Amino acid sequence: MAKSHSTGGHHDAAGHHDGGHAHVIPSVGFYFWTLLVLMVLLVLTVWAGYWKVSVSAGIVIALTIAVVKAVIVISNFMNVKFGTKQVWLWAGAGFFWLIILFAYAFADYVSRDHWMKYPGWEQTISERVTSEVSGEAKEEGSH
Amino acid sequence: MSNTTQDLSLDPHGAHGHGAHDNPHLGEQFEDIAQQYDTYTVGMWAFIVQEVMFFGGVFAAYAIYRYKYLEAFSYAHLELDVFWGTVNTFVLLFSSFTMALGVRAAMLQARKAQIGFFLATILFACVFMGVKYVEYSAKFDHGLIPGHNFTLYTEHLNEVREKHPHVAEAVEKNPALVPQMELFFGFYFAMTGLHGLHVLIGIIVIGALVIRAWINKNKPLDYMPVEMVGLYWHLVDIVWIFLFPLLYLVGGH
Amino acid sequence: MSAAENQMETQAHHEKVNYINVRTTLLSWLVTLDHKRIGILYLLTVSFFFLIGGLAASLVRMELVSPKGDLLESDTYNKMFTTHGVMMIFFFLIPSIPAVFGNFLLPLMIGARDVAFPRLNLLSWYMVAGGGLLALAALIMGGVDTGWTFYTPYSSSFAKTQVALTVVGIFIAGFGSIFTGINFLVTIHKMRAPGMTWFRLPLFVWAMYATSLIMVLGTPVVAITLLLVAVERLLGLGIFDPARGGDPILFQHLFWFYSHPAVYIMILPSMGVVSEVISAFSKRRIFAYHFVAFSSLAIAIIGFLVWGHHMFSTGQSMYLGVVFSFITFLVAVPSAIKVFNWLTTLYKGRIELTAPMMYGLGFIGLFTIGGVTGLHLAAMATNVHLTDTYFVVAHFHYVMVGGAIMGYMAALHFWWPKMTGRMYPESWAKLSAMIIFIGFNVTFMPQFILGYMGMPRRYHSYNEEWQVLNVLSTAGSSVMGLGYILPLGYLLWSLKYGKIAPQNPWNARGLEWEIVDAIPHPHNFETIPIVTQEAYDYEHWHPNKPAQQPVIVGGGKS
Ligand SMILES: [Cu+2]
Repeated sequence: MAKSHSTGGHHDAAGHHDGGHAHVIPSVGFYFWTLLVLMVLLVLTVWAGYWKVSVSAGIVIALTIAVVKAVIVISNFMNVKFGTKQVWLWAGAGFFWLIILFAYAFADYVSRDHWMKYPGWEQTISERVTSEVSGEAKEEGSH
Repeated sequence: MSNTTQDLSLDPHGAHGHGAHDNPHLGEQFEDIAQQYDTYTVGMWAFIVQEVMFFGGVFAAYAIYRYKYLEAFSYAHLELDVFWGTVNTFVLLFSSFTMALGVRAAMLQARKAQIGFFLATILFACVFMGVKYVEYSAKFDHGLIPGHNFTLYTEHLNEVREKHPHVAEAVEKNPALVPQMELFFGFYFAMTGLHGLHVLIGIIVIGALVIRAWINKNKPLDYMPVEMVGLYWHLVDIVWIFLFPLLYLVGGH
Repeated sequence: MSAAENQMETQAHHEKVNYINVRTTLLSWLVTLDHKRIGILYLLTVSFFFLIGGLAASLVRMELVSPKGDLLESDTYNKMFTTHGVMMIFFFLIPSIPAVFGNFLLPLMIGARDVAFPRLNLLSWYMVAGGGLLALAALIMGGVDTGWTFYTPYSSSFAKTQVALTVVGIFIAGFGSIFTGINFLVTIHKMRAPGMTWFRLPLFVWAMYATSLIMVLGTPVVAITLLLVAVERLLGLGIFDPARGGDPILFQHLFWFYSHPAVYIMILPSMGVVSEVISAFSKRRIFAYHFVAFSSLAIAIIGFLVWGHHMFSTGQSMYLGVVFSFITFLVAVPSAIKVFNWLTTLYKGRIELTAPMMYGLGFIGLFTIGGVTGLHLAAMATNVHLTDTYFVVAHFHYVMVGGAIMGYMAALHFWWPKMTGRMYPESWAKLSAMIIFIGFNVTFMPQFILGYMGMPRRYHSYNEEWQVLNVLSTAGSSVMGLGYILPLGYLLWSLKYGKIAPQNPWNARGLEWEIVDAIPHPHNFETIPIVTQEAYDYEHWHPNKPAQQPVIVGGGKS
C-alpha cells in the first residue's frame, strides 16, 4: 500500500524528467527587460494603427506585432524558454491546430465567391438552365 | 538576456530523492515531487491548449466577418476608444509582470513578496475591469448595443457625422452597412465579455492563493499551484494582446 | 461448486480490502477520488442516459410503422428524434467508453495509483452528470426540436423550444469531457510505471490517447459555438442570422470542426477495446502493433481535416468540397489498417468465442459496413443524392451502434469480472450478443435501401411504398431493444449470484489481469510494478506452466 519503490524507477520508465530538478528561476532584471520590450511593442502597434496603409496591410502589421508579443510572453513570462521539450510542444499545439480551422474556413469564404464568378460559368449554365435559376444563383453568389 | 538567470532548486526542503513522501504538498498518486511538478506543468499546458481552441473558435468567426464586411467593420471600430484600449493593454502587461515576479517569489519561498505581488496583480486586474466598465457604459449611452439598442447609425447619425463624416456619408449611401456594423459590436461584446470573464475568474483564483499563502504561514509555500495560476494569467494577457489590435486598431483612424 | 463452498469463498473474497468494500456509504461514492469508483459512477450515469435515448428512439420507430404521421404530432416527433440524438451522442456515446472504462482501466493498465488529477476527475463526472440533467430538465420543460446538430438560424433565431437550456447542458458536459481528456493525456505521459514504454502500452491506452487529443483540441470549439448560439438566442447578436448579415454556414463549419472528430471520440475507444479483446481471445499478440497504435493517432489527426463532407449540399465552396471529399477517402486508410491487422491476428489464433469476442467480431463486421457506406457519402456526386436520406441514418448507426456500442458491450463483458468480482452468465451473454447483432441488422439494413430510394430523414410521415421496409426496421429495433434489456437483467443478477471471478478469468495478458487483485485494491498496486516485456506477449507465456516467468515483475521493496 505504501509508495515504496525507489524514486529512480519512475524516471527510467518513461524518461520524462529532464535530468535533475534544478529549475531555472529567472532574475528580476530578466522580467523587467521583458516587460520593457513588451511596452515598446505596445507603443509600436498603437502607432502603426495610425499609419495610412490599406486595411489588409494594417492587419498584417498588427498581427505580426501581436504574434511577437505573444511569443515573448510565452517564452519569458511563462518560462517555456526554460521548459522541457514536451512543454514546447504543448505550447505550440493549440496555435498550430487553430491554423486548420482558420485555413479551411477562409478557403471556403475566399473560393466560394470565386466559383460563382468563374468566367464562362454563367453562360454555360444559362445555355442549359432557365434564366430564372441562374438569376437566383447569381444573387446568392455575390454578397 | 538568459545569462541574467540563475539556477535554483525548486524543492522547498531539498527533500526530493529520499523521504520525498514526507512533503506535505505531494499528492497520493505521485511517486515524488519531481513527477508531480512535471505532471502539473503538462496538465496546465494542456488546459491552455484547450483555452486557445476555445477562444480560437470565436476569433475564427470574427476573422471571417472581418474579411466579409471589410468596409463596415472598418467604420464600426472607430467607435472604440483607442486610449482606453491602450491603457488596458498597458495594465494587463504590467499585471503579467507582477504575476511573474509573484511566482518567482513563491519559488524562492519569499512569502511576503509573493502576497505583495499578487495583490498588485489583483489591483491591476480590477483597474482593467473598471476601464471595461467605463467603455461598456459609453457603448450603452451611444446606442451601440446589438439586438437591443443599436441606434447610433440610424437615429443618432448626426453624432457620427461630427466625428467621422465619411462614415455617416457611407451609411447614408448604403444602409445595408448598419446590420454589418451591428455584427461588429456583437463580436466586440462577445469577445471582450468572454475575456473579461476570464479576468474575473483570475481575480478570484489569485485572491484564493493570497489567502492560502496568508493562512499557511508556518508551512513552506506550495509553489506549484502558484505557478499554474501564473500560466493561466499570462494566457489571459495573450488573448488581450490579440484582441486589442484586432478590435481597436486595425482599419485605420 | 456447492452453495456452501460458494458462500465460504464469498466471505474470503470479501475479507480482502478492495475498492468496493473499503467504504460503503453513499457519500463515500459521491466524494470519491478513486478513478475506479468514478468509472462506476459514469457507468451508472451513462446507462441512465442510454435508457432515455433508447426510449426516445423506440417512440420514433413506433411512429414510423405507418406512413401517416398518426402516433406523434410532427412537433413531438421532432422533439423525440432530437432527444434521441442529444442523449445518445452527448451523454452516452461520447462519455461511454472513455469515461467508464478509460477511467477504470487506464491507471491499472499503465501501472499507476490513480489518474494525474483525481479531483478534476470527480469534477468531470459532476459536470457530465449535471449537464445531462440540465438537458433532461429541458426535455421535461417542453423539449428541443432542432435535431442534435442545432443548425442555425433555426436554433438561434426561430425555434421556440428549450434550445438554450439544452445547449448549456451540453456546454457543461463538454467541459467535463475536456477535463477528462486533459487528465488522460497527462496520465499517459507522466504516470506510467517503470519499464512501461510507449510501445509496451496496451492498444486501448493508445486509443485513449488519441481520443483525449480530440477531446482537448475539438471540444472547446463546439463549446464556444454552442455558447454563441445560446447568447444569440438570449441577446440577439446576429452572428448566425442571415437576416442581419450573419452566416448560418459558419455555424456548420465550427460545429463540424468538432463533431466530425467526435465520431472518432466514439469509435476510437471501441477500436482499442476490440484490440484487447481480439488479442485475449485468440491468444496472440496483435499483428503489427505499431501500425495499429499509430493508426489511432492518424485517425485522430486526419479526422480533423474532413469536416466539410457534412456540408457538400450547403453553399460551401465547391473547390473546398473537392479537398474535403479527397481527404475523407484518406481516413479510410488507417481504419482499414486496423481491420486488416485484427483479421491477421485472428488468423491461426486459438479463438475462444466468448461473449466479448462475439461483440468484438460483430464490431469488425458492422464497422466495416459503416465505414464503406461512408465512402458513398464522401463522394460528392453520390452525396448529393443521398444527403439527408435514411442512407445517412443507416450509415452512422452502423458506425455508432454497430461500431461504438458493440465495442462498449464487449468492454462491459470483458472487464465486468474485474469491475465487480463476479462472472456474468456466459450463455445468456452470448444469446444477447446474437440478438443484438441480428436485431441491429434487421433495423438498419432496410434503412440503406430506404435512403437509396429517397426517403428523407426527420419526417414523421412518408410515402406508402416505403412501409414494408419501415415495418421491418421497427421490428428489428424491438429485437435489438430486447437484446439490450437482457444484459441489464443478467448483469444485475450476476452481482449477487454470479460466479466469483478469479484474478485473471480470461488468462489474458496485461497489468490489470496479471497483478491487480480480482477486485482491485483501492491503491491498485501493492508496489508499483516494473514492466519488462511487451504487451500481448502470449507466445512466451502459458498460464498453466508456472515455470514460465510472468511478464511483469513486482518492483521495489514493500
Ligand atoms: Cu463526418
